[in-house]
Amino acid sequence: MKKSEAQKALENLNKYTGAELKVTGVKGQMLSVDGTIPVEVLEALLDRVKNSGSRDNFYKGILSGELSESEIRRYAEKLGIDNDVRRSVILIEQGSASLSIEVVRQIFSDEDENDIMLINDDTIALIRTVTGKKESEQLRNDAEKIVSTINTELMEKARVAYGRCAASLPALRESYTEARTAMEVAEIFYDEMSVASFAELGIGRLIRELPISLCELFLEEVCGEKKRFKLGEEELQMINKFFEESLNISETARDLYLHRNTLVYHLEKLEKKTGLDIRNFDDALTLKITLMVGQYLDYIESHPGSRRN
Amino acid sequence: MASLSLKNVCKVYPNGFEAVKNFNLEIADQEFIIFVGPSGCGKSTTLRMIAGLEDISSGELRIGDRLVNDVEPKDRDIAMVFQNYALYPHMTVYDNMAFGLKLRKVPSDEIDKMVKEAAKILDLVPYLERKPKALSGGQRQRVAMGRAIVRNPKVFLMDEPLSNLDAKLRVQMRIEIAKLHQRLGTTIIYVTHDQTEAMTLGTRIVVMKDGVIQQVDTPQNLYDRPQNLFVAGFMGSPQMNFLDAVVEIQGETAYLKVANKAIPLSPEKSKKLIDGGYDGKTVTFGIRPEDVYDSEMMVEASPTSVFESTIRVYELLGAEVFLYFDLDEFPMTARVDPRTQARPGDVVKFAFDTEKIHVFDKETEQIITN
Repeated sequence: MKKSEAQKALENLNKYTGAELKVTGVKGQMLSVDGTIPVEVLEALLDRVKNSGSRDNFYKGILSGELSESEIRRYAEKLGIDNDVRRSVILIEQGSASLSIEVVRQIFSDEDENDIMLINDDTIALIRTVTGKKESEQLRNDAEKIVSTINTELMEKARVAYGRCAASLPALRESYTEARTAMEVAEIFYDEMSVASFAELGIGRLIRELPISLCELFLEEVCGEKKRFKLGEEELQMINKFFEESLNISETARDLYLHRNTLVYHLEKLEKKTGLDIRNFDDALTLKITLMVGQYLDYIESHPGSRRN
Repeated sequence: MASLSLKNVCKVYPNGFEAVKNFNLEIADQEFIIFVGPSGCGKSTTLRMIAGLEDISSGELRIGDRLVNDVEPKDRDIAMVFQNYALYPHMTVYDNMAFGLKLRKVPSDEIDKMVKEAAKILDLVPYLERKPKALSGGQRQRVAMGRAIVRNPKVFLMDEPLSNLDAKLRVQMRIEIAKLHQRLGTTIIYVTHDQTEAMTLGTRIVVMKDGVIQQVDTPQNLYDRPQNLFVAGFMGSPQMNFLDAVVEIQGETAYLKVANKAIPLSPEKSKKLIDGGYDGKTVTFGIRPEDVYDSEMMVEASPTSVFESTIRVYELLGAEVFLYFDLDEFPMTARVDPRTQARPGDVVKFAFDTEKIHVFDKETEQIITN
């Protein structure tokens, strides 16, 4: 390193940290310096140096997209991590992630090739090595096991989401993005789901991918200016039950303890209100999508920090 | 130990899906109650609401005298055992049971006492220093239960805890759980889709369908006196035979007309049909496979309910035989003595035990007479 380069690096360090250091000499890669540096800056630097080579930081670098493909390969070699192993990212969302991480760590403690890290205060990421042919079965089993064990040990709620398997380390970022998508889609559309797999999200995932402007345009076309149908709890219950029973009037009436004719009357009332006769498949599909798109936009409005805003 | 009370409890998800509707149940202290029903019937959701792992949309839940709707799960004094339990592979049996208590920062001498007590109850004392890999399937399951027992909860919640085990182990663990209930004397709420588990373990059974309680009763009553078609069909394997029959009233006697026969019913059953105004109406007639006979003696003793049919399938199960045949195009099963001579293709005479006939309203599917 030249003295001018070292001087420049130190100037930057002084500028950003309040240190007052100057280079007095350079010998190979070693600098001689003179001056003062705040203790907390020294501690932060020490921390950074200590962790720069850790697996946690390496994986966090991949998931966040901070590391390039060549960097990933270089660091992987340094850390002894095999690039060509199939892995998936499993995200665990739970109120007290610092406790859950201990539980998850213990569940997978007999396998070296899994890495567990805190992403933020309530989210943990598990980089799960997947072996064998039944990948999706293994991942679902792992996810259910994690939820059950957190429920049992901590008596707290947990939701787990996972992406598809990645064939190489650089592809893990995609698996992570998918896991996040699955977590969000479950939160928006499938509140009852404690395990969400990206590959099994169905129509919810499709709607989440739509541009907001298109969603608004669609709602305006179907519902008019107000962009929402004003439906009461009982109407929603009837609609959901009717969909559950594959548009079968008799079965729905039986489930709702209504006379068949009463249900038909309510369906006709709904038609007057929405312009959709959900006894017809096309109209039923339109209403289903309208309700889900509405749910999605409501979520976006109530979560201003979400990805889409 | 505690009683539980659920009043008008409902669970509605934000998308409008109503998973549990108006659930009302009083569970006595030390009771072993089973929630049973097909997948998606709301049994696990109800259990999770009791645990506090799902919010209650409306209604009241009390454990003992305390309203717990808004109490955090960990403060409800309950413990759960799930189907997908995970044991920590690097820890000994002792540490596996102690781990949750350590996370809750329970003092180590207390942990030691609790773990050793639980191990004693579960006959795990000789295995405390072993790791999960060195245990049998049944022992592992007992460790999973030990993790719940060490909490010394007022109520145990078990969500299909045996579903992942093979058939033989399931039977063995069923007995262990029954013994555990006797030893602990704690209230247990147990979810299963397996009606054999429900019948053998429960002091009372709650049968659910589509988020609604269908019937709450003792195992025997559920089997003998089902309140609707669903319960009648769900409890019992092979399931109850159902046929359409037309009611004909002659004087004080009601007859069920089926397959060109008119089966006279007992005065008690007849009265229910007469009082209900079922004359000339089609009803659903139910009879359990063990109440359909092929023995000559029974056939001769019940001349009013004898039918002839061709055997389609013969299934020998060792202690019994299932004969499958059709009656008026309705598929039927008879559970008969293994010494039966009937074989596929044979035309056989069957008789019904008319005392054991159940009659359901065809439209409402509710029981008319058991």
